[in-house]
Amino acid sequence: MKLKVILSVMVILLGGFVFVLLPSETGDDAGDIHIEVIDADGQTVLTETLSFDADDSLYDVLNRHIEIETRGTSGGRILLSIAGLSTDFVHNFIKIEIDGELSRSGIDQTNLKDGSVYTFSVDSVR
Amino acid sequence: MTLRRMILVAMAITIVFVQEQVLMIVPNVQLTVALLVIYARVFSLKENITLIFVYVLLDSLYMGTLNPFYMTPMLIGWSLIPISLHIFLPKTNNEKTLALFGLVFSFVYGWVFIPFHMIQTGIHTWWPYLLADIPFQIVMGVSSYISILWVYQPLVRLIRQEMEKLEHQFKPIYHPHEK
Repeated sequence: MKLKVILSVMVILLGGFVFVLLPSETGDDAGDIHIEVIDADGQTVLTETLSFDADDSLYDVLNRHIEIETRGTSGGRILLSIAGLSTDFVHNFIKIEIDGELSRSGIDQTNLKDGSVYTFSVDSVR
Repeated sequence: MTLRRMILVAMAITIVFVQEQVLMIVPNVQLTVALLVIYARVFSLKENITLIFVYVLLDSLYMGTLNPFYMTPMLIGWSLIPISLHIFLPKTNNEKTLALFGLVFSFVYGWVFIPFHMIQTGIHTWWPYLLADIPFQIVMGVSSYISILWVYQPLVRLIRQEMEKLEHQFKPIYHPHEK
């Protein structure tokens, strides 16, 4: 019993320790980001420069300035439409690129970096 | 598989399915690994594979994702528990060893999904998936380790007792060939 308690506590502490050590992407406290929305034909339908403050997520900034539609999931919000560009999230989805690289997080988890370009375009689910 | 064994497998599937739905509010905290480790000790390999197949199908139907890119790795991942226990730890009943197995398995389970995500998304770089999944694997690993460590022995004992009782209840009281 005593050994089980010790082992359980050790595993929890070890897990927490590794969790803390994991590299996390940090954003800037404030600045401007550039938003580009590209339609299915490859035409840019929106280009805007928006400012952000500390604790702002990409969702907060988009929600303040651009017409968007989202749906909440257990993993965070998913983007269903932005500036008239919409998807069903079954056959296609809105792809987010940051400075030309595919984003590894959604609009709630993406940390904002001053001067970065956030590109939104529709991609099909394979 | 006899009818009474099929009933037991069906009950086992129900328990796995219900606990997973109840614990869904906490991402990756589950008793599925612990239960499948326990089932690997009380059911045969064939029964375990059947159980996992039905569970994955049921889970996919309920969650509305009959998607082969999720179903296939789930099927492979969960099947690894009875198969690897059958091959590498066939007689182990030590809960500490099995808890360690559950911890390692939680990482392996996440890795099984990587090639399927790569095919689905068309992004052929494996390390972002690996990195992104580590926090979830840690949570799953810790919850698997602790749950196996604490519930393995009492649950195996309880299930075996109940199975014996059931076997006893199903014994025919009248044999047609008896005079």
